[in-house]
Amino acid sequence: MPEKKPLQISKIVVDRDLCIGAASCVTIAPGVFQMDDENKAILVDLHGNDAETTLLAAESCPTKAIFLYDEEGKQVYPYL
Amino acid sequence: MTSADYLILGAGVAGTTAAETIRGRDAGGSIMLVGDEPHPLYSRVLMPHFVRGRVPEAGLFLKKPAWYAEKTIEYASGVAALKIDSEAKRVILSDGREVGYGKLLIATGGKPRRLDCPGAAEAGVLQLQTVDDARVLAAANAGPALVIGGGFIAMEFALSFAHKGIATTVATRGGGFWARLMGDASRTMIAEALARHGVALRVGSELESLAREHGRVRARFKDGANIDCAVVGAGIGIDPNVGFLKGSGIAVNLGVVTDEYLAASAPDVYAAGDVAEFFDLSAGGRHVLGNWANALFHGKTVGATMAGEKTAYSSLTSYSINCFELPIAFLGTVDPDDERIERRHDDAVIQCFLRDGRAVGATAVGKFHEREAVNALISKKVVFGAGDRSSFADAKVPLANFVP
Repeated sequence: MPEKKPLQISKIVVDRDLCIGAASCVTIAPGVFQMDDENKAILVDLHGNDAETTLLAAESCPTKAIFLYDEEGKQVYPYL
Repeated sequence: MTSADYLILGAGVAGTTAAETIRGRDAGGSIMLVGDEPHPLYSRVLMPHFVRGRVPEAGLFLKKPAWYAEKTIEYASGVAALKIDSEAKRVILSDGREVGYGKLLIATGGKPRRLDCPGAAEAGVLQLQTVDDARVLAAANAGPALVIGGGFIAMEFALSFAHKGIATTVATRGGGFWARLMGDASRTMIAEALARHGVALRVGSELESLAREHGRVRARFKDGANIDCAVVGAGIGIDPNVGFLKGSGIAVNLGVVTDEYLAASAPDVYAAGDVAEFFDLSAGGRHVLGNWANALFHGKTVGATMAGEKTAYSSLTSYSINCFELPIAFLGTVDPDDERIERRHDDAVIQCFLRDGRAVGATAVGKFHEREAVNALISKKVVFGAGDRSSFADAKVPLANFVP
């Protein structure tokens, strides 16, 4: 059985139209996400937390506003 | 009789997150997740986006149907809990099964209140709680529309109808949206945003009766006004789903009463999410907190505790909605019984809620100036001294000055 490749996140996009400022991403991965003065999440450091933590943060978003892509540009989350 | 090491009643975000957290810590324990909706986990928060055509229905779901079996979580969907015997540690389900439990989590959420005036049952009043409700609202294209209520759901109804180009009136008993939490300045900004987009707002307006006549609905109000419409939507609050706990031996007040570990009064019983009336270390008291982030973090915290790592919960959650171009945000604990102070900008009103002089929550209508400082006031439990209130009211004084 092929070995599972470790998760690598090379690009993160926050959809501001979907973001409702729940800030669960900030609570889980504060190295990667912070809130701006429109109460929307913004990316502060792509590698501010490890990839698994960043994925947990994206999964916690109630509006699936966080898009994660791997080094090949493939969308990791939301699951397609 | 079946049994489960971990029995979770309620398959919303709190219950499902708890199940996921437990499985991540306990590879072998049996987990049974019981939910009365026949769907995998979906986001209620995304529903307005689906109604407005921004997201397809499939996009609402947060777990694939196969996820439960992949995690060896037995998912009894379309099943409700009818009765609990907390002494015998047994739950009776609506599918006839009796299930014994090692540990029990009550995460049954809230039930939307229904209008109870004469004619309400026959008038086909829309609610907005489930994905099935969202489908009905998405298909409601005839106007005019009447919305009863003054909170988040009423606002989502108004925005949905306006998005469809339907003439809309909102009628609320209070002085405006979130009337018990918003002062005049905040309420006025909201009312003005609605007016700019043609949504009529009737305040201090109490519904007397509804009547279905020739496919239309006539709403009569106590002040004598009549409104004819094609559809009525109501967002008048939710009550924790605790009716089935009668005789269970588990203490219930507004919700299921818990300590800061989300532990209920009976042994090995916990509660999480909208159903829990939990002791919140952040607020310094018990309350029911009905937002997504709280339910999610309850699930993670109580899951850890149930799997053996006792973890206390302290909330600092946030939720916002866009009233057209006007953002409205809620942060922390906002309680009408707490002291409220305010500072005004040209494009915003920021309110801070104080409990025994300590910052516990805030609202922002318009641009959320100094959001980080406001957040810090709450997370650092800043106490407001004698001169601080007038300084807070002066928007020229940076809030960073208050943060140690």
